[in-house]
Amino acid sequence: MKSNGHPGDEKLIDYVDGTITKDDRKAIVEHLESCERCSAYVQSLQQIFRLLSHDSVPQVEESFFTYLPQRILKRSQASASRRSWRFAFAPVVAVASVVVLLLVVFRFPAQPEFDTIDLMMSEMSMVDLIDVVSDEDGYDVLLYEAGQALEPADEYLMDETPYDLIEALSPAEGEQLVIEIEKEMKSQTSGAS
Amino acid sequence: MEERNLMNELGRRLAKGDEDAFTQIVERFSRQVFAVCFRILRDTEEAKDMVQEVFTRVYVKRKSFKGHSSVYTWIYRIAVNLCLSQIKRTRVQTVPLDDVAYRLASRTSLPDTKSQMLKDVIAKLIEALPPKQRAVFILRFYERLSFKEIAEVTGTSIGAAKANYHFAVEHLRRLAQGGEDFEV
Ligand SMILES: [Zn+2]
Repeated sequence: MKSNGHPGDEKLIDYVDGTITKDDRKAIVEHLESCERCSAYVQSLQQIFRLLSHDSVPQVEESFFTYLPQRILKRSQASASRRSWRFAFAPVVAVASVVVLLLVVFRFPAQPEFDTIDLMMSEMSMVDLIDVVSDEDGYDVLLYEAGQALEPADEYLMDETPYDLIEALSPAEGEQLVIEIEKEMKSQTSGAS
Repeated sequence: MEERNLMNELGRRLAKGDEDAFTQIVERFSRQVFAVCFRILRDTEEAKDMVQEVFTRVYVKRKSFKGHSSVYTWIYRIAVNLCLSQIKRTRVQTVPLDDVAYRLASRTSLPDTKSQMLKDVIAKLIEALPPKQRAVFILRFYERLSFKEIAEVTGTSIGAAKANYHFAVEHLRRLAQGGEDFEV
């Protein structure tokens, strides 16, 4: 009970919702018998719950669900081959992703969400990175991590993947990016030897 | 085997890249995901596209599903995040609240359950909730998820999930009552 003698609206919502301890329930039932205000409140909750329980989801043709797995597998495989066609080899795409991400990071330097990428960059040389991303699994994980790192402050997942970011570049920007990556890769390889 | 255990077993196989497990997860869970997407977006075609998008992401990210949350909450999380960002991107105007309150207040009893009017009223009420509250309310009220699961799906604390639910219910109640207040 609150200091004013009423259980409080949250408790009453939990009571109608059925998520309440036995003891609390008993106390509320007793209170409702003698309190007009709270029993009217409970009634209005029950009314809105009853109304909303009539909400129905539209019928969708069964074939939509039946062929869904097939459609998705097909689509994902198609986009995977599109990916490998777009850039001749996976590492370039991956390094490009990182470079694009860095550009994004550079544009919003104050955001703490980019820790993962910072960490990845500080602990990995470009050569290590290429190793990781030439492996299909490693690449998936990298993309996932990048997506997580880019998650904006309001908790919603960022909708764009690094792919989307790259695809949004103009051909000239894309070319410039590839030149810069090649430069970077060359300097890394010569540094390593 | 209980449905949840079976799904989690499928989740473990999915994480190893098993395509058959993916197919089974889609078969078992896609109708439920459709219901959630529809209730958040309130548009059948949009919800269908969304279901496809959700499971495409599930497939692409299958190996990053670590199994420390259940496969249910993981998929719900992807669905809710995608729906909420869709709303953010496409819905500029929110529903005028006065309209809902007026339509409800002008009736003396609940409308016939089968009528279009009822559907409209429910849609308007749910659309009147801020997106995050809307998602929490749908997960609790229609999907009967626990607050712990809702916290996992929405990436908040259990307390915050509960608070969001309480806000949503109170919001809906006020709208349906035409703004009637209960003074303490
Ligand atoms: Zn009372």
